[in-house]
Parts: sequence; structure tokens; C-alpha cells
Amino acid sequence: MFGHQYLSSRLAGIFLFLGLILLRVAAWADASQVWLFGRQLNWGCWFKEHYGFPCPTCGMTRSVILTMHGDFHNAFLLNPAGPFLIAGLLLVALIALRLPMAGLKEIKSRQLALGLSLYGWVFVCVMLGQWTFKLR
Amino acid sequence: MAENWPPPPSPVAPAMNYALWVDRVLAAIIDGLIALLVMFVLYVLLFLVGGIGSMIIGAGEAAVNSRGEPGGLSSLFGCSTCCLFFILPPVSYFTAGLLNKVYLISKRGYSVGQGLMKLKVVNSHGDIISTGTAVLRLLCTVGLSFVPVVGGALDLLWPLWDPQRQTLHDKAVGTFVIKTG
Repeated sequence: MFGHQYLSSRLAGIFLFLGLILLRVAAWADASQVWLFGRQLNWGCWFKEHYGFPCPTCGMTRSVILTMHGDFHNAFLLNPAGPFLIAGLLLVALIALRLPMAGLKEIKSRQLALGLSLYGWVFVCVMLGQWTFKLR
Repeated sequence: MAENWPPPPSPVAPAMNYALWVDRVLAAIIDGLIALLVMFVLYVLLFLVGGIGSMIIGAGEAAVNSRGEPGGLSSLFGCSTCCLFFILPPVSYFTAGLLNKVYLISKRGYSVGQGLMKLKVVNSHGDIISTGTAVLRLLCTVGLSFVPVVGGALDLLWPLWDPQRQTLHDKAVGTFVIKTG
């Protein structure tokens, strides 16, 4: 029983890692464009087109991909929430790999729940903060 | 001399009939539909205000549209932006949750969806939770939904392997969902 539950949490961690590796392999970006499987994506931000200034998530895709390719400087310049997101996902993947979720003691489950929800709010604050900074 | 003292209160939580995961998911879907309705209202309001504002200041016309479409009210609906799909759902869930997940749960113990599925939110003593706990519970739910990719999924799936069938937002504030019917 315990082994089965331990396996499920490990599988979650492995899938998350594989997803990040797939993103690293399949996607490429520079400061202005994104390529997926070698094809350039011509995505535009409707908000920016319509109102003339960026939305809170502008640059997020490029920032996440650049982070995965190790270009932290440009990723941070595009949207600081990108590196923050990847760091959080890597941390969750590590926790899933190391800890058997079902076997967690009550106190640790509570810490994980509070930590994750706090991370969610901080992530939003980072995103809105950088947006406010860009609008100045 | 034997005296009949009342038995001390038991430190062990009362036995609870924890709600099934399927019932909780169905209740969440019903509550989600209410949040969806709020999201639609917010979507219409946002685009009406934004559209009228952009027509007044001419921002829609001034901004270059790469697809060559006109700005202003003509492009209000049928459009999608990543930020709206990132921000609007949690904001709508929070707005609807203030009534459905805070007021109703702290007053009677269940939201609209939970009422239909005969579920009740209680604390470790089996009592209805306070307004403060309900607010914290809602903030944790929304906070988890802000964690991309894994937050919402972990919260939803956690009762599957938890012995007390708690979600992560239940764990955070020490609440339980029980079946009453």
C-alpha cells in the first residue's frame, strides 16, 4: 500500500521533470520570437495590440523557454515571473520525487499546502509587480 | 468513597463519514459553474469598460493591430488573451467564493454544490467552521490555483491518497468534508 502510494508521488515528479525536459528540447526562443519543433509561432498579445501596452503575462512564454535554456538574464528582463515559475516547478518536482505524498505526516502535508498556496500568491505578486514596473 | 465524575472530554476527533472524492468533484463542478457565470459577467464588464474607454481615448485605433483588424468596440468579443485566461478564473472563483465558499459555509456548513451533494465542511471537532477559517480556506484554494501546471491538479487529486480524504486547502486550515446524507 505504502509502496504504491510512494510510486504515485514519484511518477508525478518524473512526469513533471519530463515535461520540463520536453519544453527544453522542443521549444526555442529569443527576445522577440518563439519556435516550437522548429516552427516559428506568430503569437501576438491581443491586449498589447488593442491597448498599446503590455499585459501582465507578456513575455512569459519567452521567459520560461529562455530560463529552460539557461539564459536567465534575458528571461528575467522579459518577465521575472518566468524564472520564478521554473524554480517553483523544479522544487515541486523534487519534493514529489523525494517525499511519498501519501506517507507525509499531517504537519508536513499542512506545510506543503500552505507553502504551495503562498508560492501561488507570491507568483501572482511577482507577475503584477513587474507589470506595474513596466507600465511606469 | 466512589464519586461519579463526568468522563473527561475525548481528545480523539469524532468519527467522521468523509466525503467520497467523486462527490467532492461533482460539488466542485457545480460551484465552478457559478464561478463561470461570474467570470462571464466580469468578462463582459471588462471588455465593455475597456472598449468604451479605448474608443474615447482612441487607444484601440492608435495601437497597431498586426492582423489589420480595427480597434474599439468592433473587436471586443471573440478575442482571447493569455492574461485574461490566467487572471479571470481565479478572480471569478474568489468573487463567487466570498458568497458561496465563505458566507454560506460559515453560516450553514456547505456551499451550493456541496449542499446538492449532501456534503458539509467541518473542523476537527465536527463543528461548522468560522468565517475567518472559511476566508483562509478560500485564499488557499485560489493561491493553489495560481501555481501553474501542478497547483490545481494536486489540490484536486490529493483526497485520492489521503486517509481523511482532505484536499490541500483542507490540510492548510484543518478542515474536513463529510457526507451528511
